[in-house]
Amino acid sequence: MLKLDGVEVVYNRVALVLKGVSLTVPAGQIVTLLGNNGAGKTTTLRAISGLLAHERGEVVRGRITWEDNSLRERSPDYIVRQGIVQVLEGRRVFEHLSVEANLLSGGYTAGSMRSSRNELEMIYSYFPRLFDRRSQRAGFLSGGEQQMLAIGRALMAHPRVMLLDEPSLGLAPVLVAEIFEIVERLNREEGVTVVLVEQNAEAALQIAHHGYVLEDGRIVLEGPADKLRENQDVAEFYLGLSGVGERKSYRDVKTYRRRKRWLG
Amino acid sequence: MSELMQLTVSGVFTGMLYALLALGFVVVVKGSGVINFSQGEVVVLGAFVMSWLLTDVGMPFWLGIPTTVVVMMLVGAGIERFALRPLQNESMLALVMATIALGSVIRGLVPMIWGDGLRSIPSLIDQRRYEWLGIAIPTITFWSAIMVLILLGAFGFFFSRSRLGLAMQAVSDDRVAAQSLGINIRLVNAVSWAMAGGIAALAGFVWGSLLGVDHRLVVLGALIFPVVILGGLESIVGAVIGGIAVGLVESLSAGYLNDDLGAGFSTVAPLIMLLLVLFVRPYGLFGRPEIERV
Ligand SMILES: Nc1ncnc2c1ncn2[C@@H]1O[C@H](COP(=O)(O)OP(=O)(O)O)[C@@H](O)[C@H]1O
Ligand SMILES: [Mg+2]
Repeated sequence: MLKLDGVEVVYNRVALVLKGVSLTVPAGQIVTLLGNNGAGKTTTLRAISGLLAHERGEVVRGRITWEDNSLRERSPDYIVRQGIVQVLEGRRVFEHLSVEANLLSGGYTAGSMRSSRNELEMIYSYFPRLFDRRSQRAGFLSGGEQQMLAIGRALMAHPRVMLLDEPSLGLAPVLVAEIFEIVERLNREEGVTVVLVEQNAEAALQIAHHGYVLEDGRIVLEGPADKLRENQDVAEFYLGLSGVGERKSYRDVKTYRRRKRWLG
Repeated sequence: MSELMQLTVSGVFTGMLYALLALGFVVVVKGSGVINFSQGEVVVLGAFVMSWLLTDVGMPFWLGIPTTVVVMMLVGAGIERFALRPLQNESMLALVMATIALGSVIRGLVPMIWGDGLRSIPSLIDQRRYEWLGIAIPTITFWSAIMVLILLGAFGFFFSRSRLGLAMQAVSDDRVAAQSLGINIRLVNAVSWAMAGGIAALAGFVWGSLLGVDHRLVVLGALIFPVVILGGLESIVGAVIGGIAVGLVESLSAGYLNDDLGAGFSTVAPLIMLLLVLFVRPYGLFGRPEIERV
């Protein structure tokens, strides 16, 4: 079980971005973390994976534990070795390396080059497209393929928990469906626990067991995925399902008060 | 015609030795992303340590050369640990400035330790020339070039086939993504600087044998830039191509232009070429533009 308890994060020693986030991710589940741009989703993942230091960020308060083992103030490589791997927002494949070299570099903590090579087959079975393009430079892949590569590369590290940061970003709906289906299979077949950060709440809630909604550095709502999906207010105000597409800004302003009331 | 052949062959062989200078630079860019302006000075330091161990201390070659390599690897790792790691989250400009400062420190330190007289490195092979079809190559240049080829092959193999080599490439491509996979950035940085130190020891040996060992060797540092701008900042093959190009430009301009333009022209010719290349292709002749997705 991955657990955050009252986590506060500060950037550049001044900007308090997470204001006491608590959440629980039971092993074997898919938990989604929803919220608008700037809500603090990525920061939450960085707090778990130890990638804050690079951004001049710091966890100043709270507990982060995996199987009762504290992850606070640990280095990213320690955390990866505990089985927790973050797939970064925007894919971040190694553009100048081949697809295969990208995957092999993902196996860095898992063992020798030889053992990593033996695992390529498993990755390719989940992502057949990557097999077709294995000797191409990753920079030349399409966005969807890059996202598959980023997930495949993380899988090479033998994760027990995968932290996925907006895997649907900028992808066509067909591709989103394809990738989410693979994520679900990885969860079911390989037992990988998934923390899925998304703005595309509709897609995320379809595969998640449980969901949290983050707003301005605080968890404002949580519940089982199907309950969240049914919730009228969630559907309208957080998930943008109202008009299927862009929300109207006027309504946004008006409903903000309603939302506060509803939450209070 | 035979003069052209001679100049060309000399240029190619000398170019391999320029590639050796550039290799240390390339390895640091590859492993830590830092543009290192002190590699020339590190080579000078390597030459002095080599000369000191082989003459003053009197070590035989089989001991002195590996010892210098190890000492310089430690120097490289020390530079990373004490000069660059404290700046690891700072801007690239801060890092580059640190390497420039470091170069000055080494430049000042060397005469403090060893004085400023000309020193030498004993000859490992007798100073003859190989002659073939009327083309002459000094033995030392010939064998040094062979050593460089072997070294380049070894590094190419290391980067493409070993776990650590691949990790180094990953770090140079995207540090944050590499970190997200558990690649230890500090280790990779330290290893790349240690490698650059070891390479500098060998470059110091080769160039010290050719030119003698004194502070004037630092001018070689300036030639690293035309080599890597031509060949690409982080390409090993590029270092060879760039090295050969610089060797050729230098050799041909010495042969054909120095009479008219003055004896020093061949020395600045590679730097003029550097400027011309930058005008046409700001990321270097073989350097990579950022890939655009198709
Ligand atoms: N490296 C950083 N330095 C300073 N502020 C940051 C940094 N990264 C994010 N922030 C700020 O923290 C807030 C939350 O950002 P983020 O966690 O990226 O949100 P999300 O992923 O939900 O869009 C935003 O206001 C953003 O501007
Ligand atoms: Mg984000």
